[in-house]
Amino acid sequence: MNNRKITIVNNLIWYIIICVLVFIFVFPLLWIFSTALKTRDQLFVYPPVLIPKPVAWDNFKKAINAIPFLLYLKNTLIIVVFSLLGDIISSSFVAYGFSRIDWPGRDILFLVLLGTMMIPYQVTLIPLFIVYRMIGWVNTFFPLTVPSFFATAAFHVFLLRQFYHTIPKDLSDAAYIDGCSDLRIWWKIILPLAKPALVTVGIFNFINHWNDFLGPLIYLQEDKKYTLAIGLYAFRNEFGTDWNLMMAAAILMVIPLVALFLSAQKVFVSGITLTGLKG
Amino acid sequence: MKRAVFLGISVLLMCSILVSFVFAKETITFWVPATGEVYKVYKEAVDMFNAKSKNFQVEAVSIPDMERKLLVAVAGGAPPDVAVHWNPMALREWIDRDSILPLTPFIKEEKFDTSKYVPACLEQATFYGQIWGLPLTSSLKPMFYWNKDLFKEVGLNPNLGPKTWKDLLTYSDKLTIKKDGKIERLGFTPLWGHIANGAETLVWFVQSGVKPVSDDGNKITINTEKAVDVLQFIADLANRYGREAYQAFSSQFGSGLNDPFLTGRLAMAGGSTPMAVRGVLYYKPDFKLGYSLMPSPTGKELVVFTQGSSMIIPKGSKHPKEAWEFIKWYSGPQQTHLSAKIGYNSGNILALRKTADVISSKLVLNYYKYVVNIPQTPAQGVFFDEIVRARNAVIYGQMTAKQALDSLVQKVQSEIDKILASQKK
Amino acid sequence: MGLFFISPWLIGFLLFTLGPIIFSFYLSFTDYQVIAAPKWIGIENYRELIKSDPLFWKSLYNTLYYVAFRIPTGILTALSLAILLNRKLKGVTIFRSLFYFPSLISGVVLSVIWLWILAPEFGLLNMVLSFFKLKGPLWLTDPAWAKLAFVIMALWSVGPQMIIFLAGLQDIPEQLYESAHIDGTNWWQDIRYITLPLLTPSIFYNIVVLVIGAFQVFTQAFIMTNGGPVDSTLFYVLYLYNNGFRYFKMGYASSMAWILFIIIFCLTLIQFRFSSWVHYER
Repeated sequence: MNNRKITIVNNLIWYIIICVLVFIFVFPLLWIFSTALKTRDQLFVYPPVLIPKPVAWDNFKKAINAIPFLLYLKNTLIIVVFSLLGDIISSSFVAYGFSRIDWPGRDILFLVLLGTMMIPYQVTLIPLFIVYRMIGWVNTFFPLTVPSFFATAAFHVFLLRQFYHTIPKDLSDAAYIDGCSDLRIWWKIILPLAKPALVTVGIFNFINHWNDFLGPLIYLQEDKKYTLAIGLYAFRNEFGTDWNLMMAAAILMVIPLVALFLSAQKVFVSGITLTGLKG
Repeated sequence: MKRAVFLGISVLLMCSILVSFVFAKETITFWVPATGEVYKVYKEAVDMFNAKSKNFQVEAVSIPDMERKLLVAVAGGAPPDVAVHWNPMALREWIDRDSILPLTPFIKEEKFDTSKYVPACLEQATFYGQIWGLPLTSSLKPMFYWNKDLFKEVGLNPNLGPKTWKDLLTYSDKLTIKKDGKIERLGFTPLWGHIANGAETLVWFVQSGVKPVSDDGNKITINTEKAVDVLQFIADLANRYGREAYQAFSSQFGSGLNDPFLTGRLAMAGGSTPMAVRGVLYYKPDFKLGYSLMPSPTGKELVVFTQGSSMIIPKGSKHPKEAWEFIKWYSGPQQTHLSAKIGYNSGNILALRKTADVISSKLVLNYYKYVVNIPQTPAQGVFFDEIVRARNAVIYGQMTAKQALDSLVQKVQSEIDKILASQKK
Repeated sequence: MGLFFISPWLIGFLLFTLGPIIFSFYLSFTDYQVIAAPKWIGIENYRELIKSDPLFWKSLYNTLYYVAFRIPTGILTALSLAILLNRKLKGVTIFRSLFYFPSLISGVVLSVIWLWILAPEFGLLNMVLSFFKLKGPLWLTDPAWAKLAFVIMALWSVGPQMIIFLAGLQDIPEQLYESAHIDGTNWWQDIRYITLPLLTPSIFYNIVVLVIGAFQVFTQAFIMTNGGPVDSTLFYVLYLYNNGFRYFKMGYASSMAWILFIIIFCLTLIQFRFSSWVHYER
C-alpha cells in the first residue's frame, strides 16, 4: 500500500519537474511559430508581440510557392536516403573491424579515423572540391552521397564501436566455436543487438544531410538540383529577410525530421536487454 | 523485316542526335547573387535575352552565398561563364590574383561606348588601365535617412535634415528619449546601418579631408592627427548616450527582424539607396522618409561612396565571347527590371532615367556626382575589418584613438607589403 | 580479417580524405592566396601566427574558454535529462521528442530565435532571471558574457548527446536495478553504482566527440556576432575562416588548422590513454 503511494508521489514530482523543463526548452520554439504566422507589417512592431493578429496561415502556402518546394524536397530526399543507406551499412561494418576483432595497428588506425574529424573543414574545402572536379563530380549528387558508403562519418563509426564493445566477448567466442565467420557474426548477432545505436546513427545521418547547407551550396551548380536547406535562403535578400515566410518554410522543413524521430522512438522505448542469455 | 525497322529507327535516332548537336544552342552559366523573389527578377531579364539571342542561351543560377561559392569555384577550377561580382570595393583583390578576365580587349575591338555607365561605378572596375567589369547596379552608400514623423513630433522641420556634424548632434539629442538610464528612442548612431560597415565608416574621414589611402592604394595613411580626431568623434557619438545603455538598446536589433529604423526607435540612420525602397515600398508603405547626403563637418563636404555590383567574366570561363555579349546586353539601357521591381539602382544612366519614379533611382541620379572613389588596396578584407576593430576598441575604451589608428596602419600596411612582395615574383 | 572489415573506410579515406588533408598540410607551408597558385614559404605562417599575431592567441583563448564551459555543462545536462527521461511513464516519448526538437533547427533560424532570447530587455532569458530577482547581463553585446551566451545556446541543442545516453541506458538491464532494490538502494545509489559505471562507454563517447566539436565552434558566431563585440567571440575557427575566405590567406588558415589539429589530437589521445574508467564488458 505504502509503496504504491510513494510511487504515485514520485511520478507526480517527476511530471512537474519535466513539465517545467520542457516549458523552458520549448518556449523559444513558439517564437518560430509566432513569426511564421505574422504578416509582413507585423514583423516590425516593437515591443514584439507573441500572438499575431491576424494569423497568417497562408504564409505556409506562400512559402511553398516562393521556391520550387517539391523539387527541392525530391532532391533532398534522394541525397538523404542514399547517404543514410551508405552510412548505416558502412559504419556498422567498419566499426566491427575496429572493435570485435583484435589485430595489430587497429587502435592506431582508429585514431587516424578520429583524426579526420579534427581538421576544420574550411581548409579542406577547396582541395576536396578540386578532387571532385577532377573526377567530374561537381554539380552532381555524388559528393553528397557516395562518401557515406565509405564510412566517412567517423563519429558514427566511433559510436558503434563503443556499443559493440559492450557486447560480451562470450557471444562471439561461442559463435566462433560453432564455426561462424566474422561476417556472419556481424550480420546475425552484432547488428540486431546494436539496434538502438544503429537507429541513433540513422537519425543523426538523416538530420545532418537534411539540414546540410554547405555541401549542396558548394557542389551543386544548378537550380534544379538544389535542396531544401538552400531553398531556405531564398527568403533572404538585399533588403532584409522575409522572416515570416522563412520561418514558415523552416517549420515545413522540420516536420519530416520530427516525424522520423517520433517513429524511431519505438526502438528506444522497447529497449533491449542483453542478459537474455544465461551466464 | 524487324531488323530493318530496328536499323531504320536507330539511324533516325542518330541523325536527330547529330542534328540537335549541330543546331543546339550553346548554353552559358550566369551566377546571380540572389535567391527567391529577387532571383526571379534577374531571371525575367535573362529570359528576355534568351528570347532574342540567336547563338546561345544563358542559364541563370541563383547563388545564396556568392562570397564563398565563387571563391571555391574559381579556386577549384569550375567557375561559371559570367557572374555578378557583389563586392566591387574588393575587386582589386580578385584582379591582382588573376582571377578575372579584362574586358578592355572586347571594348576596344568593338569600340564599345562606356559613357552611359555611372562614371564612378565604371571607375571602380578600372585598374591598371583596363576595365574589368561593367556596372550592373550603382547603389550609393551611405545616404542619410530620417523619419519625418519623428522630426515633426519634436518640432524639427521634417523636410530639412541636419547638414553639419553639429546639427547632427543637436538633432540627435532632440530626438533621443532616455528614461531611467534606458534608451527608448535613439536619434542617431554610427553603429547601425550601412554607415557601420568598415568601408562606409571611411566617409567620416574623407569628409574631414583625410586621405585614408595613397593614390596607388598601396599605402595606408589613415593615422594622421585629423584622422585621430575623426575616430574620436565617431566613438564619442556612439557613446553619447551611454555605452551600456546603447548596448542594451541595440541588442534587440538582430539581423533586420527588429529593424529599429522602420519601427521608429531610431530616428536617423545611414544606409544605402536601395534601403530607401525597403522602407518605403516593401515593408512600410506609409513610412515618411526624409533623405540627404550624410552630414559633414561644415555641411559643405558632400561625399558619398558607391557600391554597385559589376558583371565580370571569371578566369576559366568556357565561353568568354558569349559572356561578353551577354554582359553588354544585360547591363545596357534596357536594364530597368531590377530598379523597377526591387529598387536596385541601375549602373546604366539611361536605365536609371527610365526608372526615375523609383525613389532609389531618383537618389542616385541626384547624387552620383558627389561620389568619391577611394583607391583600392590589395588587402581590402583586412583593411575593412581592422577599421571596425579600431573603432570598437576606442568605443569600449580599450585603446585611444591614436593607438587604434596606429595599430591599424601597422597591421594593414604589413599585410599589403606582404601581398605586394609575393606578387612581384 | 580486421582489415577486411575496415576496408571501406580505408578505401574512402585514401580516395576522398587523405588527399585533401595532405594537401592542406602542404598549404600550411605556403602563401596560398586561394585564387592564385601556392608559393612555398616554409614555416613562415607558423612563426607569424605564434610570434606576431595577437588575434591568434585571442581566438585560441576564446575557444579554450568556450570548451572549458561547454564540456561539463553539456555532459551534465544531457546526462541528467537522459536519466530523467529513462522511464516508462506515460508521455515520456513526447517529452523526449520535445527536448530533442531544438537540435533539429540550424543556422539562420536558430540565430534569430536566440537573438530574441538573449535580448537584454525583452529577451526570454533575462525575463526568467528577473523572475528570480536577478538582473541579466547584456549577453551578446557584452564582451564579458558573450562567450557564455554561446555556451547556453549550445545547451539548447542537447538532443544528440541526450539520445546517445538514452540509447546507452536502454542497454542496462532492469534486473540489475531490481536486484539492487532488493538489497535496499535509493535512486542516488542506483545511479552511482549501476547506471554510471555501465554508461561509461557513452559518457566517454560524448566527451570525446564534444571536445572535438567544441574546439571547432564556428557557425553561430559567424552568423550572429561575427567575432564581436571587440573580438570576444572571435573563436579560433572563425578567425581561421576570415583568414582563408576573407583575407585570401588560405595558407595561413591552413597553418591555423593544423595547430588546432595537434591540440585536439593530443587531448583526444590523453582521453584515450586515461580511459581505464570506462567499463565495456560486464
